[in-house]
Amino acid sequence: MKKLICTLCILVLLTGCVEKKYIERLGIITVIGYDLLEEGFLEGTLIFFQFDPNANSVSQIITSRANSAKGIRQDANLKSSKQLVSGQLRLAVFGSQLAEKGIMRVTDTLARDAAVSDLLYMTIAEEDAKSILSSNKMEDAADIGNYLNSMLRKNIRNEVLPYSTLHQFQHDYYDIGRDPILPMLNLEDGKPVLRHLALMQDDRLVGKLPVKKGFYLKLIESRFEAGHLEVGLPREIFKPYFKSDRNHEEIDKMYVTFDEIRSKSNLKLTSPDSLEFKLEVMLEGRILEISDDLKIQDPKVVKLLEEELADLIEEEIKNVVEVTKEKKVDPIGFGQIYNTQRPLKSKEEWREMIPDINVEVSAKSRIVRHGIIK
Amino acid sequence: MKIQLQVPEGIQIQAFYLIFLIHTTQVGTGIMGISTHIYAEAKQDAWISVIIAGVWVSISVFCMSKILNQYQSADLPGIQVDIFGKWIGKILGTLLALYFFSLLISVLLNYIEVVQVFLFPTIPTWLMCLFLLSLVVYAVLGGVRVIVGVSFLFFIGTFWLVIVLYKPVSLMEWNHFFPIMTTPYSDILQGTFKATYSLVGFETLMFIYPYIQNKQQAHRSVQIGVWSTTLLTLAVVAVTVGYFSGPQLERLIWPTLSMFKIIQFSFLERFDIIAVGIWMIVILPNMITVMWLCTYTFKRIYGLKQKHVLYVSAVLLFFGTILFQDRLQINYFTDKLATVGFYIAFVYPLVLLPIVLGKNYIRRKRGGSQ
Repeated sequence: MKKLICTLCILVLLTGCVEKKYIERLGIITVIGYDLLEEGFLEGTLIFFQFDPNANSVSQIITSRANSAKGIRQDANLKSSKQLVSGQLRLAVFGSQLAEKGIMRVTDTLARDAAVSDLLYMTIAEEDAKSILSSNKMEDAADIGNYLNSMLRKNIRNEVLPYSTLHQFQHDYYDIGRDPILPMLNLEDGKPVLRHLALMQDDRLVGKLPVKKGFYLKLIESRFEAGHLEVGLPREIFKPYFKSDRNHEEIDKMYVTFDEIRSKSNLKLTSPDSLEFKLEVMLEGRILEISDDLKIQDPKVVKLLEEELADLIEEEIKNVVEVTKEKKVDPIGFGQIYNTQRPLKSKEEWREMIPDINVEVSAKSRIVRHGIIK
Repeated sequence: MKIQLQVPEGIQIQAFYLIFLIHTTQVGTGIMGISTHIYAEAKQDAWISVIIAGVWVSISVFCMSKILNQYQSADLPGIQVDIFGKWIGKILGTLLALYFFSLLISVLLNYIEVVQVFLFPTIPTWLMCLFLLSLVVYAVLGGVRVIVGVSFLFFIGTFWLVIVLYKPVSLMEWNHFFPIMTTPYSDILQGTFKATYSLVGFETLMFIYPYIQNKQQAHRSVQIGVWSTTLLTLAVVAVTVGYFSGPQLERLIWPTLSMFKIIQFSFLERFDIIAVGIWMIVILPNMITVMWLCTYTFKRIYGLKQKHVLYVSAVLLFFGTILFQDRLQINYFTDKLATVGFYIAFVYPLVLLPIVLGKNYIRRKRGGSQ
């Protein structure tokens, strides 16, 4: 018994040897922004939370310079009384100059550090990261990091943005026949907003795509369970079915908004030699808004709407694919599918083949409901 | 040294518990990083390698049980002395004990490194080593029944970790598995060879056999045990290959643990931290059984008191472990050990079986003619 008590005492005391972290002494980094300066230096902007009851504000922002990402943290430690830790890092913002050169230089440390979560969101700033993180328009969020993080999370949940976590980025970066795609942050009247998606060649920013077009990208690669779509259909075709005229003669489009979209897609490689892909998209949605007074209860009208919508989707998908071909990027993963039949040796091999892709699109759509009025 | 071992009924165990004993002895640190090693060889056909390895394990277990059936109640150290004579038998037994000793060092080193990388970067190796070894020594002092009890309880305590894999499963990409069967056969077999490191441990059967009450059911229990390990390994390998892209997987050291990084609950943000902690419960029964095997073998061969051997081994393990300094040394050591383990668990029983059968045949013939 004595022995047991002795052992227990020793074990309890020994646990004291383990490193301790007092929350009051920590600066918990939530957002980090990286910019490339002209001399090859990196400029890092860190936002961190502090749990010091005496402090005036909950978060602080520090800018520091170094040659490496971890150097930035070392340098930032010299500028703060808090021990900076990265276990709660939620968001990384990369300045466009850095992104054009490649962000893997910095991402490596995020992936290597076991403390950093794989669920960290990756974004690209349309200009520089520092100005976005220095913005003070953050609605009622506790700090700018919190605002950016909830904005991204909400939009990813609503399937407006692609799933852009650190894990997904690395997955797409390393996978042969696929490129990552990341959301871009921009300032509008000093407030950070999401306007574009960044098209990446490996880890280099080569172009951007409006977020609305991103819908079609998602339509190709995955099944939707939520989502929202606004389309302009040619007004002329529907004219015979108008109940009344709402006096918008000068607009030649009829705008219809869908939500509760469910879609399925099937992408197949029909001919590996000529890079022919066949894409079938089936989309189901609910009408939420029509800009004209349409006789929606008429089956003919619904059918016409469905056909027009399908045509439009085909057209838009083709446009998006054109853009990716032009930029030689493959966010959809055509190469992955090709790779399952003809193993590719390298990412570069596929990169050269991207412009020769042919995609035959056939879309079908179905309107399930149209609100509580006829 | 007696070849047959009569174990008092009070410390015997039911064959049923072999399922858990064998399973927990097989699952340990190996499964944390196995997918990377298999993928490096067999690429998208890694899962085929695991299945081949599983079948091989099954065959090896079959051979073991055939060997054991030749005797009423013997174990491997005893059988070796019976077959190869006193001297060679004892040398082989010592080598086996040393192998178990090294296996313990490798488990300790690998787990402590994981703790240092994921949880406490500054925790000294000796401290972790002391914690783990004190638990192991405490359990082994309890004897076979405690060891079996521990493996049963800890199996129940950790098996649910499989359930949280639903999240990575939902993010799997089936494209990663195609084209099937295009890797050369030699690469797939190389992958099988790599897979064996995470499957060794079933040789416990050859040592625990005298302690089993209903010996006729031992074979079936062990088969269930090894197949459950194979299925678990297969699941882990399949999910990691689907979840990570190939080159990404090749860069990871512990893909199984990295996979836990994506799991998040509203009340628990970083499940990977918990998973690494829980992993201690996965490796503990593993270490306890191996420690028992090591000390038991010494006891059988040299007639020493198991308690004394246990204390000495624990001290030696402690110093042996803190000798290792960095990742490269650990890697080299683990690699070499995996090769040795492969021959001991996968090749040796297959070689031993015809020898045992042959010798017994000759013996019976002689006995008949006399």
